[in-house]
Amino acid sequence: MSDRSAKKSGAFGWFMQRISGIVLLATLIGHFWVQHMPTDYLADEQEYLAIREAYAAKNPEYRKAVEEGLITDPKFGEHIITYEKVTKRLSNPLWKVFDMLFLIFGLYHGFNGMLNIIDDYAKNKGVRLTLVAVCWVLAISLFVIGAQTVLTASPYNPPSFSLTELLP
Amino acid sequence: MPSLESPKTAAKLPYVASFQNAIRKILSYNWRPGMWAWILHRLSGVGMVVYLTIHVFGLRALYDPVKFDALMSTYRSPLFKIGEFALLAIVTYHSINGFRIVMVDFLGWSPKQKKMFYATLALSAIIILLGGYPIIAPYFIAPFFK
Ligand code: HEM
Ligand code: HEM
Repeated sequence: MSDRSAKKSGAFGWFMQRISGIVLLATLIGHFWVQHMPTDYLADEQEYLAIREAYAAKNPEYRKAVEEGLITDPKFGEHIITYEKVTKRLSNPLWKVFDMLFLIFGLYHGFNGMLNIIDDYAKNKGVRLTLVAVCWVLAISLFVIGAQTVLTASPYNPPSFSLTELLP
Repeated sequence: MPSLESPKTAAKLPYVASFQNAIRKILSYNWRPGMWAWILHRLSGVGMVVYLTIHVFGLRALYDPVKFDALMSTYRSPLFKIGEFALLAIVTYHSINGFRIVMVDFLGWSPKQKKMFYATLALSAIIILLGGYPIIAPYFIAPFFK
């Protein structure tokens, strides 16, 4: 294997690192806005309590998790990420497209950067080949997992009855 | 004919790889802003790849409301909030410095790299403080005013 011969000059990777960086700048700002700023995409204290109550009524396991303290109380002034709000936003296909672009460009840019770094430091051929292979396997698995998460995310629809109700 | 004693051909002192020598070597570099900008960019890039990997694996919980809301609850602890703040710092620095690199390369922005690096640091600090406030406030600031 000649050293990554397809891009011997590295100019394409260099160029794409910059283009993907600019795309990421836009998506990261959007992501930060949605996940951290006190907008309607997050639940405030009252909404959080209402959502928790509604889910606990529909889903006994949710109630159990609240009672066991796994789904904790809101803090004063806190804005919280919840399943309800995230899946509601993602029911708009444009948000799915946004998340997919973010995932694809983030993985491309991040792992392209890692290949650059490996190029700089790993001089031994075996070590280098191993690290490059690890990067590819990781990037592809993350793409598959991430795409599945985003594309299948949908509002909670409990079955009309639970099998456990049939048990004595 | 140069004699064997000429500095050019004299045997070099062999470099012995050791912890002390590595530290000495690092300290002997003439650290300038450009090198800091570069090493911080590299470290923050690797940090984000590590975070992104954990993040995407964790988000698999989004198929089940119980799992997802419980996961978000574990993230809502003071320790994780400090981590979130650190992540914001890493992301902000890499983004602004990355933007600076792109502008220098594509638009030929100011060759006054040193000034630009300090401007990058100042802008990062402002954004980190403004953006970090809503993350930190409910955990470390609001309790004092209750
Ligand atoms: C806000 C958007 C971003 C911008 C504007 C940006 C910009 C850049 C640029 C221009 C480079 C090339 C540096 C060079 O060739 O000297 C770079 C490298 C890199 N970036 Fe980003 N980046 C961004 C987001 C990210 C994200 C989200 C990740 C991780 C998932 C990441 C990981 C890396 C890595 C690992 C490198 C390689 C570092 C190196 O070679 O020293 N970046 N970035
Ligand atoms: C602590 C800060 C962060 C929080 C609380 C957070 C939260 C979330 C949540 C709840 C989602 C689910 C999908 C959605 O809401 O649209 C998501 C998706 C995503 N986040 Fe973040 N995020 C954070 C930081 C980051 C950073 C720094 C990056 C980039 C390096 C990033 C990259 C992504 C990507 C690529 C997706 C799509 C995931 C997928 O395809 O499965 N996030 N994030």
